[in-house]
Amino acid sequence: MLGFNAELFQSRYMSAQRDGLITSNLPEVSVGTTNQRSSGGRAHWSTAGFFGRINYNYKERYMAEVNARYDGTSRFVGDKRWNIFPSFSAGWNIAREEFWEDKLDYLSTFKLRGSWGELGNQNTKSLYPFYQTLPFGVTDGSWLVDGLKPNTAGVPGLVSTAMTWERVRSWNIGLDVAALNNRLTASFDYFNRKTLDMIGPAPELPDILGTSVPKVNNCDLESNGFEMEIAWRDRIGEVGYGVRGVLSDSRQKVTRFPNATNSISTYYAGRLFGEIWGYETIGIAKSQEEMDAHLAHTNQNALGSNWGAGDIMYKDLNGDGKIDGGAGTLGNTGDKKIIGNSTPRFNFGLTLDAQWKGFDISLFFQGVGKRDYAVGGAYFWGATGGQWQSAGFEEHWDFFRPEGDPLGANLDAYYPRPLFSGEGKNQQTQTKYLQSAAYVRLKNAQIGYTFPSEWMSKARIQSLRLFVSGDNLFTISSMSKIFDPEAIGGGWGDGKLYPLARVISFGLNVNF
Amino acid sequence: MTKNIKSYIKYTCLAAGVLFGASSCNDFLDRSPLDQVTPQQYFNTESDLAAYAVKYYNFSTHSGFNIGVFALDNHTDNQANVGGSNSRWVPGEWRVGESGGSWAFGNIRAANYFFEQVNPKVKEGKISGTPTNINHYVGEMYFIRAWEYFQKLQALGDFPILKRTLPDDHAVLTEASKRRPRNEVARFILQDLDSAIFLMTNKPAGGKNRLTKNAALLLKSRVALYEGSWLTYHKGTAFVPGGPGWPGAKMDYLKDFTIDIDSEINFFLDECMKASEEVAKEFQLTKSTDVTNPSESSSFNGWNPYFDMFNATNMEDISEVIFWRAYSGSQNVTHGVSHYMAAGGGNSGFTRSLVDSYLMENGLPIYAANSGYHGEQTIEKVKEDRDIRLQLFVAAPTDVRVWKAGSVEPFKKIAPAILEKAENRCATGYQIRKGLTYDPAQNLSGATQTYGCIVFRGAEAYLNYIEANYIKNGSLNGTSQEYWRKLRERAQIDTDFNKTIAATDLNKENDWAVYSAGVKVDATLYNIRRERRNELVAEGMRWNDLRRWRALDQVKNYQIEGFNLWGGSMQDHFTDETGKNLLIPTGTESADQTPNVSSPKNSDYLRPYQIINDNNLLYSGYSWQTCKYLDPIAQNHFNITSPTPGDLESSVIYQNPGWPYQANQSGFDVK
Repeated sequence: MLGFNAELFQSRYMSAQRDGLITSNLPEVSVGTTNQRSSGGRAHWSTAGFFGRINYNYKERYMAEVNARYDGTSRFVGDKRWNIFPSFSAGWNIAREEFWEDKLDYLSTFKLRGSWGELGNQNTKSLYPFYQTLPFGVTDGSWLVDGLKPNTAGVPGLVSTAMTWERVRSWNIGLDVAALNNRLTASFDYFNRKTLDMIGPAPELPDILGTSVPKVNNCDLESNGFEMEIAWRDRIGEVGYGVRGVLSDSRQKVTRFPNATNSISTYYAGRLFGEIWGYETIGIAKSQEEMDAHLAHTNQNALGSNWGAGDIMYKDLNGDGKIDGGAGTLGNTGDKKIIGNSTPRFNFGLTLDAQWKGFDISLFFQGVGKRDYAVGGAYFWGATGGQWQSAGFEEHWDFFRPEGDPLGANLDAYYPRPLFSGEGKNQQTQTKYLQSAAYVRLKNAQIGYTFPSEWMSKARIQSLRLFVSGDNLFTISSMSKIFDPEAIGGGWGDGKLYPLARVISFGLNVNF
Repeated sequence: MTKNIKSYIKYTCLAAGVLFGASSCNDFLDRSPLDQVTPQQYFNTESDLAAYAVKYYNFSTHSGFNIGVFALDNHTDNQANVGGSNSRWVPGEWRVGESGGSWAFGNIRAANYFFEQVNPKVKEGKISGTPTNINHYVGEMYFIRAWEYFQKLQALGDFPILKRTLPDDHAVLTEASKRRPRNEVARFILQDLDSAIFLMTNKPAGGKNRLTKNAALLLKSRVALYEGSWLTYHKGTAFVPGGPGWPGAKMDYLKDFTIDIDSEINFFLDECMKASEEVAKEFQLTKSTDVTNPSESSSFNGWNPYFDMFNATNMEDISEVIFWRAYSGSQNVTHGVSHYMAAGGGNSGFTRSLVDSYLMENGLPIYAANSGYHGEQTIEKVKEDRDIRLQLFVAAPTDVRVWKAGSVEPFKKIAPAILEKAENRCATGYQIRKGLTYDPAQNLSGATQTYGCIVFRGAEAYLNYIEANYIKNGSLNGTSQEYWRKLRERAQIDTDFNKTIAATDLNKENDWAVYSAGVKVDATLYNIRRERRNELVAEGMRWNDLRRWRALDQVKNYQIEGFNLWGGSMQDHFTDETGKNLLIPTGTESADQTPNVSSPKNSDYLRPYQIINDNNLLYSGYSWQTCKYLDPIAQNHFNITSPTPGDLESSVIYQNPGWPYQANQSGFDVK
């Protein structure tokens, strides 16, 4: 098969607005009296592509496919615009071989699959990333001239004409199995994906440039992972039941990035996604003497001052007698090391269900097997940055208090002493406060009863089912109870988002 | 192979193209912005230039929930806030940054981009509009580049001189990062200001809300004095190019640099005097009356034009104002200055050192024999018969806080607001009244005030002239004497400054500016500095004045003090309805009450940083470290310009004296 496709996206908008309706019975622009505003704009982008495909299928036994695409986009220019992306795949269903026929009852599917291919990705939100545009604003200046906001215009940023397609090159092998009269089904996939010429963070340049460095296709990324699914479905007497489990995992690694200074604050070759750099904690000093003894051989001045009882003692990993982050470059990271990884690993799900007569029950668990998280902000620490940006939850009560404190001593506290200024010295990313965000959660449980159809047909009802369902019923996690391991982040800081709700619902399904 | 495919594809494409009515695929994919402006389409009219320039007005003005520019003198010997500044006044607490800081070039690039785009078009006459206006807006951009460079000069000293935009090329950028000696930077600023003065008009559309030729002259006067006095007082140290230990000396690219420092000083002081004189003759000082409060029968304004100058809604016609920012409720550009001032102290307060520096109306310092000083029993007594500026701008409990037709409300209820919550508190007991409004139309709730903010005013030119003249000549010429008398006349003090000089005893002056380089200056120069301090108080000049005068070497365990809390009758002001005294001095605290004022055992005067000892690095007072005369450059700038990553000191950029290269390390004293 050969084909051609072309897409053109065009948008156009206009709006007009006035406030102060003379009467709310006439909600029309012309009835408004104040604050007249209008706006409008247009945009367009297009893609075009040629593709060809050859399929081969021999008795569902041998399968092969060859694909090729030649794609172009309006978002890139010149020789960066077009690119060719081939892909191949093949499969062999051993169960369809003649020599297998007598075993079909035991193993109806045993299919090996494999593929290799490249796909293109236009990783830019900008419709015209190679055009330098001059930002201008209409009556948006805050420096009033003649009592009014003036129009403004600003310096355009740098753009790159070198931006082009990212090539996602991947291969995978897989196995599909159906056995024991299809009671057992399983599939397994292993994949390797290389994102070549990825648009990564802009390279670092001396600040005298005076503007941000344009992003270009400057790095390679490799990810490896697997997905597997095993399901069992059977019936014992009148009880039907099923179990289904899924498990997946993947890791991403930067394999190429131009990091001239080897800075650890951006990509570098060999960096795993989600790496957390931090200090190693010795503990909280229980007394001034303990802190002084620690400071005698470990100078913590680079992190702050006024160290005392209730402050953190950090470990001098490089043995230079002081705690700092070095030059922040690979090989000179001072006392920082990789203390964890925030990528959620081993995501899993487990569904259990059973039916007996009219009753049915199902449970769905989900979770993450391994994940570290360095939580920050007021929700985690409690006291941060003065009265306007601090929080006081029950967990925060476990802060350090010395002997003789009117609130009672708490020498083995989880949190250091609360400070309203200079608190950053105790709130460095560090091993003591690294959280495990691994969890198992009963995401949904349901019990239902379907009334026998003989009864219902008398009432001219096809089916009637009553059920009770619960979402987010319980969670097992070692993470601080302030946070939900399924929803940690948030636009305003860690934990500052609308929480997942525990929902219990009763329902009735009726079909006529 | 690709080529074959391409040509094959071309044919297919043509066939498909016919269907689509397009002539080829590439035309189909050529999509340029439909509603965005490319630089080639801009800079064609004078209003384009005006819109660009006004975007880069980057001046300190009122904004948000605070007392605006009147808080800029915090952390000096003039003014203090509640929290204090550890980084400035505790040795070792200011640490080298990891990235960012003053080593930034965004607005400089914006100006250079403008010149690259606009100057050729101006030359070819391609910009529509009147030549006066076109030139004016080009002049504004020269002013803006000069202003940006002046911020760099004050913060960092030596700095790269950059006149063009640079490509994103590491080698080019590294080469351009080389620092130039500060006197060259200052000369570059003056050149830009000369261009601005040549191109600009004094009557642009928008009046004194826009930059003008006069504003450029004033800035020139300020910059020239800054550099002239810096070189004078820092001469012979690592803080001047060519001085002993100057870090530029070890750079290969500066090996041919020479300087005749005395002629440089003369050059800058001369430039200052010339520019100052031009401004001073244009801007008459706003008159002051001897009225210090509005009365029930008066209007909210008009009782003292000098006081009104700082809270006028329209400053256009005020003779002394050179450049100001306007605010407007309907435009949603507002500030909170009077809300916080009327609420108490707005988290600031004048120091005893400042208040004591004001002269008596008879021209004598308060300590002089027969000065007539009324003592410190109350703040009212402190203010009696003093310089009108003290009477106007420092609030006492009986001063008026809010004016309403037919009634006035004094500060009494809250003054001095030393026990309020931090954002309303007066840290020292001497509350600020400069910039307070009595206009009932100004809504005093939150940040909704709409009166203007002065950026430049004429009095500074008078002061700059006098100072430059005296540093240069060691005596005052007729013009200086006239300027000084005018300033004193407005302040309602005896215009005979020689009387003041004769009565000045530097040992009795609690003023950092008594010193340069740790040595006392002469009484005349000190009184010139006193005049500047008293006139420009709370206008954000003090910190940079102290740095250029090198007036901080001697600061060690210096206690900031406020009003006389324990030695007079003021302590009786702080009672609740039942008459219970609310003051909890340090040392009398208990489990359920923390101290809220300093102890009378240490001082009769309120010491805002000696109230709580725990975690308080300022408890033993302010101490200076000489490295802080200039800011440090952040670590990352060395790293990215080093030939070998990690070897910071191999960078073409050198660190300022006394600062290490590595992030989070403290500076040290420069000998």
